[in-house]
Amino acid sequence: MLGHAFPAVLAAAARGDEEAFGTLWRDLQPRLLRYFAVAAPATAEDLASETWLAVVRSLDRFSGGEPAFRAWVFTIARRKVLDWHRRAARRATEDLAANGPVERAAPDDPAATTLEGLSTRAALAVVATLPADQAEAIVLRVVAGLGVDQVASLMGKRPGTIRVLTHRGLRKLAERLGPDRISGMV
Amino acid sequence: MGRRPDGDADPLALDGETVERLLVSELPPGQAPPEYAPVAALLAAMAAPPSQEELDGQAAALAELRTVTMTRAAHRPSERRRRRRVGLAAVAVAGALATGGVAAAATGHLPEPVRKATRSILVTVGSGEPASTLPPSASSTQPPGSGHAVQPPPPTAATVPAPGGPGVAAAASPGLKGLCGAYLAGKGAETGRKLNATAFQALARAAGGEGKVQAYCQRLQPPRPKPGNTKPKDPEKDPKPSDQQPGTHEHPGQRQGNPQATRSRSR
Repeated sequence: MLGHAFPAVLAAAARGDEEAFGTLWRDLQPRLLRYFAVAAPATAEDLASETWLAVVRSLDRFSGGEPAFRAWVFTIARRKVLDWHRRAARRATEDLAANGPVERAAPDDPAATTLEGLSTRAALAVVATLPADQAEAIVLRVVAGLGVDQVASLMGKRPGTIRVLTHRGLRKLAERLGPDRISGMV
Repeated sequence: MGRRPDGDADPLALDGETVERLLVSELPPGQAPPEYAPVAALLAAMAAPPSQEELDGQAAALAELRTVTMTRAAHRPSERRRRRRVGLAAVAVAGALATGGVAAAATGHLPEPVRKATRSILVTVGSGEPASTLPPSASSTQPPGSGHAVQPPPPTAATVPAPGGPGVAAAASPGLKGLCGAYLAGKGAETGRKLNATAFQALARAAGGEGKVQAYCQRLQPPRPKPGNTKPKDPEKDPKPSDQQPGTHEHPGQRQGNPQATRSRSR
């Protein structure tokens, strides 16, 4: 979050100022990568690049505050995910079935199975095992830092539905991660 | 969630507020409900600070920015200046057209500042087409009351339609034009009653008042052989100029000097 600095940074970035753009990029790129890790694993970096290309091209036409900007960027990102799924639906299914997020979790890695050492990657891999809507809602709230209404708008659902999705998702995570169930995390 | 039939509380039950606090990282594992401590840790890991790996692509992203910026500047040197205005101007125009559109409907002109902003947006949206492709000052060359034959779609920010006049007709949706058609066709008797109350109210809102619907609808219609009716001369229906939206550009030839017109038809 850039806070008060945001309007000036945005304006400069829209004019092509590289330092300003870099600030925006550093704030959002990790979030985008993590979002894609759950929504479109194995192609996160490509989709992030495509997202930034679209952002750069329309940056001087955007007007709004920081929360709106973040929502806008993730709207673009989500569209990239949907496009990708459409283009490669079969391949995506096969990938997940054959390798799944397990590949990223490295289940026999002690760091992945102790809570203190839980890596970002492992955490995202676990979330990716949830039903897609629950996973997406949780990631958009926790990683993208979007509010309920923004997530609702992005996913084309009602805010109440988003609350139910995240509630159920957390509950499922609790079922899988309970203190005596770590070995069953994968 | 809730109580199970055998009376034991569901250990995984969560209230909405706790869910919310978990999602915004306000509950570290030590403070979360015990069953959710692992979840809290997982969420914290998800929201951890960026890793060096995640920040690796910055140079490539900056290169892309450079390319886009330079391409844009090379193709349209003045484009950047105009584009800068699109964000603000588009919003201003969209708002002004909504209100100024009514003024335009009555006067046949857009208010000056709106016209200028609109022109700049049209150039921008036209993706760099030279300004000469715009109709020469679409609003000012049009005789008042002649209406527009073209019926472009309603404007939205940054997508104001090009040639055809960003003025009168652009401000009215096709639905309003249809209502106007019905209204004018039915006038003579109880004009307002020919449309149902809801439809008439929609027209009244667009026109800025029930007493202004007549003039508003006349502006929207294609030229008609009604020389004497290019209004508003009728003191009963002519709204006071000060009733117009702020910023209205009064056209001298238009109003026949009715600054103190009183309307006998009560609004």
